[in-house]
Amino acid sequence: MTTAVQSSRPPGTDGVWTFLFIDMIIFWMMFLSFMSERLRHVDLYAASQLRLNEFFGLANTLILLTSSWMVVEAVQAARRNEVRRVRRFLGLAWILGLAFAVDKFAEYYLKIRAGVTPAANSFYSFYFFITIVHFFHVIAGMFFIAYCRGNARLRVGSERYVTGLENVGLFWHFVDVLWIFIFPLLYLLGRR
Amino acid sequence: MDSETKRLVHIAIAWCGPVFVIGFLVFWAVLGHNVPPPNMMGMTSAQLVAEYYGKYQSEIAVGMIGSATMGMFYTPWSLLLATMLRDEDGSLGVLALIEAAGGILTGWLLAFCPAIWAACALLATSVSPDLIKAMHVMTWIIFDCTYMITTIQLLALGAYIVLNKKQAIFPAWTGWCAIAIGITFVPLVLMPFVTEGPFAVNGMWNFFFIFSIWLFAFQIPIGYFMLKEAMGHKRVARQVLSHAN
Repeated sequence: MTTAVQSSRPPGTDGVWTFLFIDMIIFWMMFLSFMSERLRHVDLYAASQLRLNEFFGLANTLILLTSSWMVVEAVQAARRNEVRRVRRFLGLAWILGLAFAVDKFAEYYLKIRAGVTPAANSFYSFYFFITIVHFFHVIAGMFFIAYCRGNARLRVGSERYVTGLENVGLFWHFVDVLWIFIFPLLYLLGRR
Repeated sequence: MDSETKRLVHIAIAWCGPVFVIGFLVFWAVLGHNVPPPNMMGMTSAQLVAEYYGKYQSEIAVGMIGSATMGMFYTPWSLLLATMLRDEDGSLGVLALIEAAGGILTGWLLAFCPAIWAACALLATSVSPDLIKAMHVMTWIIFDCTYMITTIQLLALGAYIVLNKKQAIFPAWTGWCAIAIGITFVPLVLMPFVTEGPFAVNGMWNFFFIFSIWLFAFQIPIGYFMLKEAMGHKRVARQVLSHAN
């Protein structure tokens, strides 16, 4: 009978922390570029922002926060060797990721149909650039979550699985934190 | 070739990296008046000729011919890098080959495009401005929008470093950096379609940020560890450790 994996060390591995740090620097550069351009074209950015529907952004924020909670539960369950709970919570996290994707596609579709494209002006260039890069992170996270869920029956109980799931959890929380910055930056900053 | 000669050859090729960076900065960036390049999508043909090619004709011509020479230093440097990405059995795996292919194609591009811009400068006063602008724009689109040749080089290098836990030449953070830098090139797809802002040809992101991190955040750390390996410091340390064990 396998015993619960005790966690007395920081979660995840050095590699994923290094990756997240570098990824954070890249996004920080994007945010800095955005703010720099915004200061030069305040009126343009304010007017363009009004064409974004903040309820799409709010919905995505709630979706990702809930999804992060599901991943936390899955990691806790993995540490206690509870296979069914791991699979259930990872499944819910994945479904919420899918909901984010559907919401994002709907938003992009409506924007493009209304003539709002990445080449329309620099605000929309940033909007599409930042949100698409973030969206790729969400897709990657969904892939990792699905992989962990698929392996749960065979591997829950091993320290390697728990560490791997912690890495995925760290990545998913990072994706969530990124959105918490992106949502107010693009949708809310300066909105009247 | 004896081992000492081989070592000296590798050191010389490792120095091609810094030679490329400095040479390209001097010839392409400074002499070529590309800090930043003219915003071609927001200029008329007459403006491009009057304010750029006509105004700095000799300097641009010399700068671009010099760039065409300096650009090819990137290729041997990239091929030396590929030889440091061997599998455990000593063979060059697919990631090393992709890195090599990306380095060859990037080196070619760094020579080919400046040659055309040199032609634009030399012909600026003898052919129509529309033709000059067409050559200039076409070349920039080739230069920027084929970014994937460098992205695949960086992704392959990064994947090798990150996934190959037994390699000791490059620390893991350089691999993650290479991957991140390769991905930051993707917004170059917007360059042909925007006339202003950070994603224009002279924009903060598509020019200043991308070229800076590629030249400095990629070339310098990778070049440093390549030079260390070429000079044999780590190899000697590994041999000493293996004897001690």
